[in-house]
Amino acid sequence: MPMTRPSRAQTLLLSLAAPAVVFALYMALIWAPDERTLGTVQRIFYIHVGSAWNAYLSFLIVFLASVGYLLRRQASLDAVAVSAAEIGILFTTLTLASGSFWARAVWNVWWTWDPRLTTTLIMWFMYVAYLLVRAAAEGEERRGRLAGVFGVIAFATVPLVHFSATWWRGMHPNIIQTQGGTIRMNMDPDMIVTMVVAVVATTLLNAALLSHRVSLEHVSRRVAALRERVRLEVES
Amino acid sequence: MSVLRAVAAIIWKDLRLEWRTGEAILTPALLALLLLLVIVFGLPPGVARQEGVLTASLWTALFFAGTVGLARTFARERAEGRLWGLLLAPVDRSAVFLAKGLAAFLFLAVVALVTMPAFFGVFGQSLGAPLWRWGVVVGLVLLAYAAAGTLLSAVAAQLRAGEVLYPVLLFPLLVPVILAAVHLTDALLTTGGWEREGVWMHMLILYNILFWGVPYLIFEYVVEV
Amino acid sequence: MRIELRSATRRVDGRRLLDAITLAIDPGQALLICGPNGAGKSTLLKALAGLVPLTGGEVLYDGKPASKWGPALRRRIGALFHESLLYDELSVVDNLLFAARLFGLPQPQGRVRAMIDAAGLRLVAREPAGRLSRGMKQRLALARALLHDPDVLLLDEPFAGLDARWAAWLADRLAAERRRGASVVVVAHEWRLAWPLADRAAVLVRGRLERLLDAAAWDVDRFGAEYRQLLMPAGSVEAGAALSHAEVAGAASMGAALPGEGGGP
Repeated sequence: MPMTRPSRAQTLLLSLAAPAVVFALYMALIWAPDERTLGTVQRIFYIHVGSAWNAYLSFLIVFLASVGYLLRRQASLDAVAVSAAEIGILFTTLTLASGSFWARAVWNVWWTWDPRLTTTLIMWFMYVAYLLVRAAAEGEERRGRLAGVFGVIAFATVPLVHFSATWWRGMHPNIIQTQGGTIRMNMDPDMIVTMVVAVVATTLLNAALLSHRVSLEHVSRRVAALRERVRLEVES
Repeated sequence: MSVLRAVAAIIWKDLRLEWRTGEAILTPALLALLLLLVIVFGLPPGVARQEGVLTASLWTALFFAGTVGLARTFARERAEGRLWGLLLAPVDRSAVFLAKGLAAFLFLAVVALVTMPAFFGVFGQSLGAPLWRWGVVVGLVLLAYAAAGTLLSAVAAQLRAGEVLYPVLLFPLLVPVILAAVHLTDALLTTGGWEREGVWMHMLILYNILFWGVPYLIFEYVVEV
Repeated sequence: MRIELRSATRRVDGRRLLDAITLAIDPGQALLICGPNGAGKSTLLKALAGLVPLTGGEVLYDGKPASKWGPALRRRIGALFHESLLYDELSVVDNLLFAARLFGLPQPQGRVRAMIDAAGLRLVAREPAGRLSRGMKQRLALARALLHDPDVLLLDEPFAGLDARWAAWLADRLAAERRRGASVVVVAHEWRLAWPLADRAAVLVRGRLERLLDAAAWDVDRFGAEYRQLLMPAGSVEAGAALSHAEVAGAASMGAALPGEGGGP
């Protein structure tokens, strides 16, 4: 029986996510120090990293749910896949927008063909295509199956897109550099703390959104099934 | 061996159909030449001879024209339940993908063979590299294109207005192939080899492995029902 | 081959296309499946051919689950669906040659020529399939299904579009296939034509096997009355079940299992 009211876990998630996001915004916009050369504009970075991480996380969830659906054929897995895809597109859009503002402020252009931005843009197209597949497929079973296949192919292609964008042109600021196996960050410790808080808060937000979107999907499928039953009964 | 026989049978059938319909070679080839015309009209005089313009125009035209034929790969099998006829063959179902993919590759190769000389003529370019090197690069690009295009064609054939959606589904996945194609052919034109752009060669090979390999795991799900 | 369905079920989008169907067909036997539109007849054939997966139960061939057979099983299945499986642009010869090569038949040319003669298509052998008349196209589709001497024949409306002469030809042909040991499943909306060649008849309604009976013990008209009653809406299904309990029990004793009664998980 699908849930129609938010469960206790969902309420808990939301009541954690909401203050966490407010707190992260406070840290990012007020508490964190100004960057030396970029000034206050650098604060975009926290939102940018938070959304980028969650975009990739969401698409990983789409991939895992798609594989699961193809193997097990459980409608709930397909519901997770579509929910994560929509949320992933939302975070991808945020990543692109914040990256674009950053580029305008720092490089004086709205868009640069930096590999990460390019990959993110193409990923955005891929998952919009994923939603198009869903919209154009008739029948729940077929929709889940074809979307599942596309979800797997798209995710497998993302690394290749990233490599090709890197080799094509490159000018993304390398905040995190690996040196001799240890990761070193070229950042003020306060900035690192803020970044971690921002990532945790957006991830909580992601989880809360996902669980609610999945419930919504279940409800809308129940409504569709009920409507179908009424239609059949009226016909016979 | 029965797999090879079935693959050969499907390719033979597709060639035969192509002879009768001209959907996968004639139409795309004409479209590619038309695109060449449009591109040349659009370019300011003198720009055409600059480095990179020929390859960008060539691949833009070939990739776009190619979708017209590729979209039909499985759309045609969808009518009259023909796909069931293929799936009833006593061979592993990935053989159907292999055969359809190879047939699509053959069609694309003919389209390229017909249209590429026109591009070189219009832009007044010489090959700049031995013919076999061109064969290797163009061959790998078209193999990668055919694999991704065939797989997506099988998906799109089951969608409402699938042929309209097809390029939108396909092109984001093709980005690595398109970039590799442009870089490698640029290298052929300017340096006479692909050594300068070795990473792109690796990319192409990797892409081919992925898109000819993944269908073995996934094609059964694509053609179910 | 012996075909067996064990509580075969297919649910799609919450609808039961096949609902726990259990039955068996022995080599040389012919089963007629009738039922109204949307009863699941075509789905049943496609499930037998391995084209649509079951969501429950299983199909067995010679006692072995179809999933364990691998692709080699398909060599022994001949299928005619509502769709022709033909390429309209290819000639009659090319359509059959393609099928012969797909099945890996030895000497495809000779086999195809013999089949074309048998199906009376010699005069149109070089014509594109799309230009054939309805009856000829049906014969071509039948020729495609019979080409590789399958041990299992799955035929959806085989008599559709055939005139009296070719209907008789098909009946003879199917009798010959059965003598050879082939098991035949015929789906027919117009079941009267197929009745004489059936050993048993099954009635499918909304994915459920409502009747499975011994055709020899039934007169055509009596079955017709029973069938009509089964198809009547609102409550008539239960009434019909009580009416013919004796006959159904008789059929069950002949090796047929009733829905819900059969084994399987």
